[in-house]
Amino acid sequence: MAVLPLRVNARVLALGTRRETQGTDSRTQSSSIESCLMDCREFRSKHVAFVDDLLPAVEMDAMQHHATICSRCSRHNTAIRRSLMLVRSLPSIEPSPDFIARLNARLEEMGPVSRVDLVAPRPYLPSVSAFAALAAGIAAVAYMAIETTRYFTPPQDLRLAPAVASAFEPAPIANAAFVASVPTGMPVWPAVLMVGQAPMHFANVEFREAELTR
Amino acid sequence: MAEVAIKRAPLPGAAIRERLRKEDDATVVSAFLGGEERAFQELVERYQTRLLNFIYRTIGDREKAEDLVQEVFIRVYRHIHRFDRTKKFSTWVYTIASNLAKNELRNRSRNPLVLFQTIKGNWDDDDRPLQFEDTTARPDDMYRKRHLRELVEETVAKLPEHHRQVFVLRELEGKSYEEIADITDCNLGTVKSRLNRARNAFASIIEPKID
Repeated sequence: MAVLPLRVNARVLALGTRRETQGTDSRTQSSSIESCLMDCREFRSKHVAFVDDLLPAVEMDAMQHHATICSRCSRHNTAIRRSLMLVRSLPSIEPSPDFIARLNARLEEMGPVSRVDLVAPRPYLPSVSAFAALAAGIAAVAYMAIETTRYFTPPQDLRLAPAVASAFEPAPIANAAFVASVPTGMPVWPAVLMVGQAPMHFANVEFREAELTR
Repeated sequence: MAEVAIKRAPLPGAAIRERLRKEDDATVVSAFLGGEERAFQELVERYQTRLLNFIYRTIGDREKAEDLVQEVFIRVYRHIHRFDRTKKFSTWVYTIASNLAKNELRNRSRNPLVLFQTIKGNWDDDDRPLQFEDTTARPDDMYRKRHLRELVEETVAKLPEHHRQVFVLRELEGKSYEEIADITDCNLGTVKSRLNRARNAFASIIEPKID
């Protein structure tokens, strides 16, 4: 019957090391206390390193004790180790007899690798694309620098053209009578107004418009 | 006064190979880069079996695995002058192999016909004569061993791709967690997590079948 696991911080295990010097009986008791302190979750999480013998001695001891007390973890431990034994005893497969001959044939097809490549590696020269990327990067940085300078430059005073007061000249079409009639919604289009907007020049006659004033 | 140049007689090829066999990978690589072509053959001999087993266990197709191993060596031959000699040669070679295996699996998943032909090719393997069995052993022992080997290989092949690669590198190639992290381009925590899941999955599949 499996011992119910206690959820205790694993650092408590370190306290056991002092108790071990107090005699064999208390040593056995403290070891069982320590292994009880390790719960199954901790056992499973450290099981990889436990199987590979990569845990510190104190933790290895705690894991072994837990495996002797907890039947579930003990079965898990046995299953893993037994299956790994099968894998590790798999026979190795060997290359086919003509493997080297085929490889040499392929290497010959490749042709001799340049001795320069073999003996002295080529010096690193940036490719065209690398150079283009570098130039683009420098241009981008320069543009950003200019824009940043402009952004932080204090604004210059705006110089506008001098304002000159001039008499308001009503639009020719804005005749007083027309303007007066608009709010009423009844625009008046006396023929004389139209005549006034379209001066007609006859050969010998000048029309004089009649101005309607209030 | 005649100048006498003392020339050292060049070592015969066999002696050179014998000497290279005792050197570590870094020294052999340096010898190759220094112009000793036989050094490359030494690298091929050292790694051909290990790479074949790694790629075969990863992709499950022996013929294709051999092609990919050849491709690994072609790439090593072409690019070894760019290899960073401060790093381990083994890690570099396994990284190339791992990437080729991953590409092969990716191509297969896109082409169901290739996948079917691979599976069918594996069925035909049953007709091939046994290669690695002790012919003096009892027939029932031979059958049991063959069955067990096939069972293990099938179970490895059933693991998810990411878990399988880490599993094979650790359990069959004996690579450390750090080397596996370099080869698969993952962090250490991911390697341990995948290995844990791979082991759990492998055990859960195979345990009921061997009891």
